[in-house]
Amino acid sequence: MTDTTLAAPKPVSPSTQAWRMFRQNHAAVLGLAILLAIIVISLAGPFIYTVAPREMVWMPLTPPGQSEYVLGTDYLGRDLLAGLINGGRVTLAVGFTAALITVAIGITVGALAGFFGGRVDNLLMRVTEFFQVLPNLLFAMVVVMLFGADLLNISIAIGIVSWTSTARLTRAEFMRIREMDFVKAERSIGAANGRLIWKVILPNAAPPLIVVSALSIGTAILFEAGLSFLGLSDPNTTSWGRMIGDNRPYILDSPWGVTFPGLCIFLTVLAISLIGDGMNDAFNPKLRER
Amino acid sequence: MFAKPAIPFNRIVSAAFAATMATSALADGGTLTGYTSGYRTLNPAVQSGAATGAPGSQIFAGLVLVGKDYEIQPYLADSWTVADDALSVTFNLVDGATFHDGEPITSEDVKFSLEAVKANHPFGKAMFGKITEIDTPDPDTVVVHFSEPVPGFLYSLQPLLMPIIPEHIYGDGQELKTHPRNMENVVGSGPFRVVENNPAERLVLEKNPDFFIEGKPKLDRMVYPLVKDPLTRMLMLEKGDVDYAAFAGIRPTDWPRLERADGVEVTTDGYDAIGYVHYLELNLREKPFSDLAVRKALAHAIDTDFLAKVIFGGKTAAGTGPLHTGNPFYTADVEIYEPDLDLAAKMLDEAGYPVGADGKRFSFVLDVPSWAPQAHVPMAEYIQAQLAKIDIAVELRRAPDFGTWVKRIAAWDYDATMNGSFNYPDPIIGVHRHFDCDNIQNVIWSNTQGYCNPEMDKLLDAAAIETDPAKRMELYAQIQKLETEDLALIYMPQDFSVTVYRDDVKGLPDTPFGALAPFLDVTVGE
Repeated sequence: MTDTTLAAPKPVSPSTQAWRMFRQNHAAVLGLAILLAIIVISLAGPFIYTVAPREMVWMPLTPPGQSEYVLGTDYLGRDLLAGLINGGRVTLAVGFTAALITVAIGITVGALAGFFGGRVDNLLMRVTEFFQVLPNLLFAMVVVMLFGADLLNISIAIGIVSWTSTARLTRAEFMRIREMDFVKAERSIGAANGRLIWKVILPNAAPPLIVVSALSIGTAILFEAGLSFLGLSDPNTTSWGRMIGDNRPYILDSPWGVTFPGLCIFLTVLAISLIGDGMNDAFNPKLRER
Repeated sequence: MFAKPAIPFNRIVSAAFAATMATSALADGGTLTGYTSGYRTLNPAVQSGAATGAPGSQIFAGLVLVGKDYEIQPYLADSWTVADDALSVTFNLVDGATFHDGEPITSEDVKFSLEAVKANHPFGKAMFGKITEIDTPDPDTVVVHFSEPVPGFLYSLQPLLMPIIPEHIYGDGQELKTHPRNMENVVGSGPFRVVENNPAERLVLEKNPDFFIEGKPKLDRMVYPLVKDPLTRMLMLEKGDVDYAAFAGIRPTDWPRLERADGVEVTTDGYDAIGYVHYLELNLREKPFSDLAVRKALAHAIDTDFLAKVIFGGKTAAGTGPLHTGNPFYTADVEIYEPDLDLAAKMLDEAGYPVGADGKRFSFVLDVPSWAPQAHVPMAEYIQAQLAKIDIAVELRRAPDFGTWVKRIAAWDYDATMNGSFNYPDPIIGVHRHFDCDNIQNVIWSNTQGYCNPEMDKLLDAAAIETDPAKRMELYAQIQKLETEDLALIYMPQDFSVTVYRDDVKGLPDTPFGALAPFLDVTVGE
């Protein structure tokens, strides 16, 4: 008998493995950097750059670089830079809140449908289909019109029109996982449904759901921009979408009024998409073994 | 007889020349393309405003027209006599005038129209409330009797405000406001008749060949496609797809661009008598706005000159009182509130509205209607930012549509709102309604703010029956002075109304009502 030492690899937790994968994806890291920068600027910016975003400070439609307001002014002579910094807060807040609502409704409905199957599934999926066939933008517009255009209502409107794909994905994951042996084992030792759903299946279904959730922030930001563009924005706040909508009529002679907020939205959504892509790869075990 | 021919030769030539000119003008009147922002009815007897008024004034004739210097000109009435006591007017109608369906226009139709407008038009009561009786002794004669003199009466008889509508169509007992013939098979009395009416697409009018003025109108057709988006309108005007646009909805920033465009003319003429005035309306029933000192402080906090510059590119007047600067009764001798934030803050302190523990004096909701967003949204946002500097919190509430806003304001269920209204040529029509104690009604554009001052009422009543123009002028000067002291409304910059047209459009009406007058002499093309 000879002693053989097995060179067992040090165990690495799945999240650490995912982070390692993510770090190797340069595009995703760039996305993360952009998003963090945007968040930091939006949160800290207003304390550093103190021009009031809704105050008419200079001649309307001043081009960039021709006054102390470096990015120029909008159609009412308001500072575009101040608008972008303060508007970022609102845009991000709506994006995150709406994504949260999307994910909360989507995962709950999907989990219940996927876990219980049968009649529950049938009923919940018909409800999901009902929401799916409604034209998104139109439905959101109706909700905002009916309940008033404040930030919470806008977030709720975006949330309730965009949860269906999350629900369907969650349902599919739950149906796949609920038949696996470890779930059966849990069930056989007496775990209740609640524990099975939230503690057993959900964590194992998490990776694709996290990716979808991250991407839904980007979708929500675009959606908010769309609503604002159509004039459905909170009149008491500035958001990037609203800036585009307000300045659109002047686009022929003063394109900067829509270009800068448009760029901000583009960068934010791009960053979120890159992060989402990176996470998708990082959570995918098949890619990890390469 | 060489020296004196029976008929001077040159006169024959000029007569023949004039005849050819007339026929060629008739043949080449051309098609005028404008646009419409959408309308609910084509019958101006039941609806005020430009969307109905612009085509309505072409489709329907009135008894008179208003000329360049506010003189009354004959139209369907070829003459009229005002009684010495000013308590009756006798009109003589032109001979041979017919509706578009060939039925003659008679004194009965005029009587029917007067009564219809009185009962259905938003200003019906203000314009014709004092009519006691209308006699029609023969088909060409109408005699209107009043309980008291009505000095502005003749002004209200132009097609925009008092269209002559056919009794044989509308007199069938149906409710006039919702009468189906307001939109279908419209039978008018004016220079143009409706040939295609599809409000979601376009409105097409065609020359009325049997119009009662020989040789008019000169145009063959007028086409109004539906175009709502201001940017699209701009591009269409610039490119020449549109020949003519009144109430063009063009912003001052577009002006230089349009002037650079080839063959496009821009003018602000033709709106003086319509007199579009914007104001901040405060609900005077409750504190803090029931307090005059607070209203005065607000007036000091808002710099209307600045707003006129920012919103309207300095192309409109700041607005000092209830009358438009183009109104014949306007006076500049009123109470002026110089912009001064420190003074405003001091006045609020003294009036009992100090800055509270939450850092605010008070807060209120400012409604923003949807019908003039280019003007009202910036005004509201400016007021919000400005009042924040003197610690008043303003929450903006944008109405999703016209109906929602009207309902709130007409129910007096609001703190404050941006608003605006038309003066029209005589203050009795467009101005009295806002200040008369008797007109505190649940009706939009009445005295919704709830202002009542017996002294003001006395002045308004006196001005309404004063027939001596100089004395009337003096009365309106007092009214404007008193109103700016009482501040029932806080005045904003006047509206920027422009007409944009191609330079080959000739003969546009140049009267104070031009934008909404019939196009009798307009031609397009060489």
